[in-house]
Amino acid sequence: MSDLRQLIRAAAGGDQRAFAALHARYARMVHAILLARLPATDAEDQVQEVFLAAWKKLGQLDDATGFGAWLAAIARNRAVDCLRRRRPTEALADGWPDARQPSSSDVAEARQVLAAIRGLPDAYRETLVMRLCEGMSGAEIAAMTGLEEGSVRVNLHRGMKLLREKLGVDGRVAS
Amino acid sequence: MSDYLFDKAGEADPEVERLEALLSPLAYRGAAPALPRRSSRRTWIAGAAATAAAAALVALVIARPWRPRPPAWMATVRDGATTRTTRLAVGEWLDTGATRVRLVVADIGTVELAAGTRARIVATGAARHEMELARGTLAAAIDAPPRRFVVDTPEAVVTDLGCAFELTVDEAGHGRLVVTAGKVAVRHGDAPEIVVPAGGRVALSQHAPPPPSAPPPSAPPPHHHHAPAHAPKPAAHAHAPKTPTPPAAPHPQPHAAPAKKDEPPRIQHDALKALQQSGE
Repeated sequence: MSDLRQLIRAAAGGDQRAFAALHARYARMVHAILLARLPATDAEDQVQEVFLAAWKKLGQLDDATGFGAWLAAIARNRAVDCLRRRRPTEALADGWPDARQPSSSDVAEARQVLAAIRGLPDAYRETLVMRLCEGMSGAEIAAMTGLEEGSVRVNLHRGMKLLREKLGVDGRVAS
Repeated sequence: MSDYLFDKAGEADPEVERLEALLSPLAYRGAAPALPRRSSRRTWIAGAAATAAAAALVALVIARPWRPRPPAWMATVRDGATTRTTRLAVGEWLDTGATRVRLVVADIGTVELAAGTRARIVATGAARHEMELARGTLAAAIDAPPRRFVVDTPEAVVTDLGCAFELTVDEAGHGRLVVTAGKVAVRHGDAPEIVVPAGGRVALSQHAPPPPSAPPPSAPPPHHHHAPAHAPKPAAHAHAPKTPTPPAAPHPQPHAAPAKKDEPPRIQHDALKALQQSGE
């Protein structure tokens, strides 16, 4: 935690390398929170916006232990803003980052799985995206978000149970 | 006992593995954003010292220090295709009338005021921004660190913990809180503070019946590190999402927050009124 405190203090003082270190540590959490609500291409773009907003306001943060939760709040609000700005007729189509194009059937199925995850309550969808997309362990999720490890474990298992119910018996999306 | 879903160790769950393989191409791989140049604290202090004399001279000529500092909250009125923005001063009541108003809360977020809303800024500063909602509905999206944004209602004090929420106060002064993201703290008088997580709905009425449970829609309550919305609430009462707000009990002072009884409501913010009447 003292390491985090030092990074935050340095970044708040204008140290861009310290801020890059914070980005390296927290970007996956921020991306997961955005991806749990926004199309993949939008989520990638908005990660940058979230960190720019944090960079501008970092001086307001006086408790390093709250950094992850604060960053998460910025990400959630950014996602809410993006969805609000979207025209009502604009579909929430999931773009796919060009450089990571798997087979078209996998893309279609991944989109359906993501849509199912996005239909879950906030706490479940965020932790599931952190775990399944970003590859974060439960302990990492707890450390980043400020949640208790026990709470993360429960959210993962309850979320997975609900996701299984939405998906077919063999794990594929029920038609 | 190993738990593959939690700690990625031990015997793998094939379904979890398959979902990981399917979704992992979406993992974030971006670099840190290009940051706008910001001088370090040391440089800033040196620069500030070097320009202090010139700045003081300019300030005396231009700023006239006996005048109050300009308010940092901006109100934007949307009336059809027309949008007008004005500054909102501390203490001035704002009646939205038939229009919606968007407030930019200093540099910490935004508050959307619905039509028929009466609200004002109570205080604004680096450490705390406080507003009062006498009636109507506001939707707040706040990026500040926890406890920097506070809304007083006639029956409770609502404190942002990093979140988005919607708050409604009816004509009788009874409130209803819906947390759409993050967490919100609610305090009613001297009762212990409760923390309401995303998905939680709370009736802010001291006359409400005992609390029922408040799970998020179609799911058991997610775990948060604060008390979930279904925990017993001594003062504010949590409700399941579709539970109607209990009947409003008579309230002695419908539009005045108890802590500010001695402060009579002011007239509608003149600048805003003028904007609304301009008809553009």
